[in-house]
Amino acid sequence: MILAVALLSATGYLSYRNLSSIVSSIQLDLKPDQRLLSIREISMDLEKAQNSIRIYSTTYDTLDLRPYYTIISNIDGKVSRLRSECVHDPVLLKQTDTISKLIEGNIVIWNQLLFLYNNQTVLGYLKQLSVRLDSSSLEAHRPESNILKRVFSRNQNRLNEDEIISNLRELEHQDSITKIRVTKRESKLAVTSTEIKEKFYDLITKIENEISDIVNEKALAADKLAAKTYIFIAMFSVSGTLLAILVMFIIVRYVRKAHVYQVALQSSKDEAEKLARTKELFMANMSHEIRTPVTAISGFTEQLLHEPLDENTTRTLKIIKSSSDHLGNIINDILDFSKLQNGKLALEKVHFFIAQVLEDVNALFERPAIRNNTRLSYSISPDTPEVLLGDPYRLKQILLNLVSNSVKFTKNGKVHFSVNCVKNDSSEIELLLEVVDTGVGIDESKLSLIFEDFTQEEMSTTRKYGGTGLGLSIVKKLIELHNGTIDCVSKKNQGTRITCHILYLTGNEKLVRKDVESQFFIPEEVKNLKILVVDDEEYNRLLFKTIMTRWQIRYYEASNGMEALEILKSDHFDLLFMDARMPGIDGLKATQFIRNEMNITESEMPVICISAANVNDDWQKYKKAGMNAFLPKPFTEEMLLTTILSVIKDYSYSSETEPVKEEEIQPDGASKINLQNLYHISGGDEQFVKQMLLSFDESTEKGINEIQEAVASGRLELVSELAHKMLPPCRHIGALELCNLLRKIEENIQKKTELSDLDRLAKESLQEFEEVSRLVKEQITKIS
Amino acid sequence: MKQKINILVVEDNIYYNNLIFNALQQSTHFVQKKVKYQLILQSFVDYSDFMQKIESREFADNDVVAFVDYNLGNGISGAQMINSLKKENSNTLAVLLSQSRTIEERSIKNNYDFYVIKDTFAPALCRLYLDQFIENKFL
Repeated sequence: MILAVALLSATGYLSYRNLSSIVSSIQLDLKPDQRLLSIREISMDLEKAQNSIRIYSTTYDTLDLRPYYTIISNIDGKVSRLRSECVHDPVLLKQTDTISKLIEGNIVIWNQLLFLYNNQTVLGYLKQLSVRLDSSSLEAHRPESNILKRVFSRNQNRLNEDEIISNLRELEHQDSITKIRVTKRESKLAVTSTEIKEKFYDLITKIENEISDIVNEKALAADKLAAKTYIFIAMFSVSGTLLAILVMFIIVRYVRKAHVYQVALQSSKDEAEKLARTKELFMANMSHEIRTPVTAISGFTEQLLHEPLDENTTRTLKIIKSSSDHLGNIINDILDFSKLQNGKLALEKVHFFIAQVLEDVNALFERPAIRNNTRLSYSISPDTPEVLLGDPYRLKQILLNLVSNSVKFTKNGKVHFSVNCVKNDSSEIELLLEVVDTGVGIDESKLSLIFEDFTQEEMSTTRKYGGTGLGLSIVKKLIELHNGTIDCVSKKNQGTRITCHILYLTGNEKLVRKDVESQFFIPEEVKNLKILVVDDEEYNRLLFKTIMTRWQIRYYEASNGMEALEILKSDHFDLLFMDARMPGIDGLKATQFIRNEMNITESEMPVICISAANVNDDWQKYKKAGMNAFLPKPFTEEMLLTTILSVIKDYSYSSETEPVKEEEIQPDGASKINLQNLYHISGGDEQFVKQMLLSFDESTEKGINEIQEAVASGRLELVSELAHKMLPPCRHIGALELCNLLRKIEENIQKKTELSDLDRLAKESLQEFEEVSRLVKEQITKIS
Repeated sequence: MKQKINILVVEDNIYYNNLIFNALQQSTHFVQKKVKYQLILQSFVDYSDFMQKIESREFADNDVVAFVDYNLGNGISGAQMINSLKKENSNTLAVLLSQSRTIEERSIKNNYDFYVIKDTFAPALCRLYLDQFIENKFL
């Protein structure tokens, strides 16, 4: 690509340069050669000068010499200019010098000629005088009229005349000599002039030839340049085309690659999302699968602990309870970690006593600390507000993880955790949580790793002390979720100090949630409830059953959503516990059906969602579906009671309310049919309703007629079957009287009553059907 | 190749057959995904047609969701149909449509997955079941 661009640039530049040269050369060639013009001008001037002298030689008029003198005076300048124009050409310069000399010689000759012409004028005058003298001598030879005159003048005149004639003859001689000289001069001048002309012509020819040569050379050079330029242009075009192709190719390749990358990226993204979803699903499934038996273990252990047992069994059960709770905590850790990683964990905002949180943490690790011969203590600075607003569960989780680690890694030492108020700015409080121990400590080189996921200082740590390696990672993520900071200072075999800065708001004591435990008794209003529990896990249902039986609550159960809905069709319940995840129809959809299709309102029957997964993130969805509260699995009796109280306190209801019977749906008692259901199902499609009514009319008519025939022929089983078959459609279109008659037919056959009764019922059914059919047909006509 | 799912309605009463068929057709997921996943909805009024299809192994290779009436007339039980279907294709989920709980209890040993009492809510319940099935399967 770079090579192609360089080639294109080079050829482009060369083409441009050559073209520029050709253009400038053409521009130069278009200008006439100044030297040639100068030579021609000089030549013409010389011609003019010669002509001027020739004219003068004829006219002897000095005016005719004016051009001559003008030319002579300027000729030097023109020759000098020619010299300067030829200064770069030594041959031409030499020629110019020769011309200059010839011109000088010519001018000398012309001047001599002029001089001779001037002399000729005097001689001419003298000649005229001689002619005149001749004529006067003739007159003197004529006979004198006057004798005196003739005597006295004749001798004197004769003398003068002879002398003058003699002089004249001399002058004539001299004149002829001059003429000869002039002629000679003229001929010499002509020779010189010819010579000069020839020189001029030579020079012109030479210059012209030279110019022609130069022009030819230039033309040749231009041709070569043009040829080169053509090559460059061709190269430029080819390289341009190549470059364009290359660029196109690169672009196409880039686009293709980009597309491939995009596809790969999208695929990776989809894959990653799928993986994330799978992971999430896996986590949800795993938590569900693990929590469910843990719930059962923990719940049933708790139930057993209520029984009068011997000390040994009680201790064993407590260990089971503690272990299952621990297992539950590990599952919670894993789930929390997954949620923190996906950014799906949200902090609660409730009012709570900070001292209570610290006390709970202390109580939880008191015994393990004693087992390690470690002194566990905690403190709260006096300036810390008693009630805070925030998430006490997560604060407890932070402290539990930190204190748990300290207690775990400290033997025969001290563990102290404290809360100090660093900043109390109106309502916002910055707390400093510190956990200090004198335990095994952490190697400085490993300090940076301890907050990483699934990390413990050494692999052997896991084997020796247990744990998932998630604790500190979860703590760090929780602290970050609080917009706080965490820091750890530790020295091997000396101890560890972990400090956290975390922000909370000042709480209100009046708004602190009351603990149910203190008043743990089953209120009468709870005992009177009739509850349906829907859960696909048998032991969960059994756990509910155990608790509720002890609480003296009327308890019913269903193993899936479909079954629950079937039960709810015919029975009324005060409260419904609905598992979120079930085969067939899940809790969400079942609740939606209860609220939207069965029209059982929240005040009639609140629905409590039970789930092993934390549905907090999707709670809005569950709430929108018509659920009223959430009970996480595993749950304690207290949690169960609190949840029940929360919904029955929120919703006033009457336990005496009976479910709406299907038969009561009919809005108008006078009407034999009710198409409300059919229209509801059709979604407003009248043609569908029409089609359904036609099929009802046809099939029911057929059935009723078959019943008549079967009754007449005594085939009672067929009658029962036909009646049974016709019931649902009749019920669906609200033909309840017909339904009753068909049901009676069925019952009568089962009870083996009189055939006459059956015959009567069959006839009544036929009459009723005719009425129903008329109404149905009316409806069909209305739709048409 | 698209995954094909056969959704079958087997009900000899034409009215109720149409009712269930129409309700299933209105399932949100069915409407949205029927082309993408090749969801084929078929209804049978005559059980012999249905049996013929089972025998010709038409439903052998794909997932099947069947809504079958308990009483198909002429003493033919829907539970038997479900058994035949499940024998042919183990990936069959069957919903038995029954008149009363008595019948449902009588056929408890049959190989169906859920039952729906044929009352006012039955079409909506079938639609809900199909919605959930498609959601669990594809979404």
